[in-house]
Amino acid sequence: MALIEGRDMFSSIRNSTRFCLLLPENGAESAPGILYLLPVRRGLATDWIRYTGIEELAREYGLAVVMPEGVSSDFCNMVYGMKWWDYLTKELPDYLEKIFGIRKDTCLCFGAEMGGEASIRLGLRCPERFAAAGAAGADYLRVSRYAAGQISGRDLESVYGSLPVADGILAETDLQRLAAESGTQGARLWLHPQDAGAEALAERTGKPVHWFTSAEQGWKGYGACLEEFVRSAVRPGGTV
Amino acid sequence: MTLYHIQYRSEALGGEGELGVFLPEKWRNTESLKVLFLLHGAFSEYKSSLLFSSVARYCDTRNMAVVAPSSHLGVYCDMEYGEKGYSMVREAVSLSGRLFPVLPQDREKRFLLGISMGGHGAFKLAMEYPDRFSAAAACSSPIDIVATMELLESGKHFGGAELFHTFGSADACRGTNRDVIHMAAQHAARGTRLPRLFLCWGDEDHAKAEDLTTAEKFRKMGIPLTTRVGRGGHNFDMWDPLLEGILDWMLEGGNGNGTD
Repeated sequence: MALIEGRDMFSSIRNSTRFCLLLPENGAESAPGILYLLPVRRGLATDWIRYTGIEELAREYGLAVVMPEGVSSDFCNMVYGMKWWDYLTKELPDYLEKIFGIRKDTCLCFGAEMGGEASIRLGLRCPERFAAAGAAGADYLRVSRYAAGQISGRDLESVYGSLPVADGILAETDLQRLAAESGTQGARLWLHPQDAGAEALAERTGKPVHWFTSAEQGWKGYGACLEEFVRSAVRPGGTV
Repeated sequence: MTLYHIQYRSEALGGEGELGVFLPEKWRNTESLKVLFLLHGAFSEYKSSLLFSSVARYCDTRNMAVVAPSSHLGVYCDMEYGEKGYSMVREAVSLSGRLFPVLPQDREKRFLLGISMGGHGAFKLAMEYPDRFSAAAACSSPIDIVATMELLESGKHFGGAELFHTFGSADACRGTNRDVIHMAAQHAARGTRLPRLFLCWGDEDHAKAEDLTTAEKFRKMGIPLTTRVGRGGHNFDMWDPLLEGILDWMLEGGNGNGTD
């Protein structure tokens, strides 16, 4: 695999941001599937490489891997901040397709904590692009609890706005609501049973969900779930 | 504009390979996008040419990407005793095309530039793949390696033991594909359409005598070689002021053959 580290300006976020890519040495066009790996809050593009066995896993399945950063944006279009959802779902994929030939469809996504919530959001909102979405260490009640005044914090306020949270914002970000509205649409989901609100979310989708079995915590657990995700979501030969 | 740092598993090196890829601000204008393969000098790595010169800025205004592999001391040759520097640079050029499909593959949009020992690699790639590159420029470079080894063997060359490790001896190089002059002579006999060639050196450069001899050999072979003389020694203070002129010479195309 080739590891590419880059940083560039993106107009959605009016700033430069870093990303890492793992590409087969024959180029991204030879990869049967594309895996988006989303970071924890304020995580770095290099975290997945440093703390998990992603490169060996990607090599085994021939995947191209995209590892963006997302500061503390929840990868949402922030009320007091930049449009990280637009960056993640439009500007970055366009950019990666033009420069590296990374396709926008036949994708999978996986993330931890903030990145896990964003991964499931991608799976529910962009089913035409993502065949499978997985998450570990995620909190599927975070947005609804903030909207209900049960938790607070500057990060939450920056992303979702001051209370009361606008209905339009909840419609795009509250994972319980997105799950209920996804109907037969949506990617296949891989969730961790210990994550807050995971069982409710699974029930709301009305579809079978895959449950991670690793009981490890932190990066050790995220790495184990990532491996479980790739081994069960990707078919031999790398198709998703 | 942006600079990508790439690490990969190099078959040629049997270990980790490294290269930098610079994309200019206007890379989306893919019609006008060009690519410069930039080979660094001895005792450095890809970042040095980018840090010590303004080549990235000069390329940016000309919508030219830069692909810059890191090598070691091997003059971009497969060394007698050491790493396979030439296999590595071929691998890096080809890898950059697969990883970055945005980079142009047309001969007329692909250029080679080498600093010091990098110029040897640039000319060698030009001789081996004349249909893949439009022009090759060398700054203060040991092109005529047989002459360099003869000087070294008689104790009249500044180079160190690494040249013996790379080339063995003058006799071991003569008439082989390590001998760029020999390759050029064969092309001259066959009438190959070669990339346009450029060689420059400094008026106080330790490579000056070698480069003058090289220029004379190309003249005798009837192969057009544009030459320039910079002010100063074997360093970026001398090379940097020449670089914009070299890029413009690359882009003007035609069969330009001139000397200062």
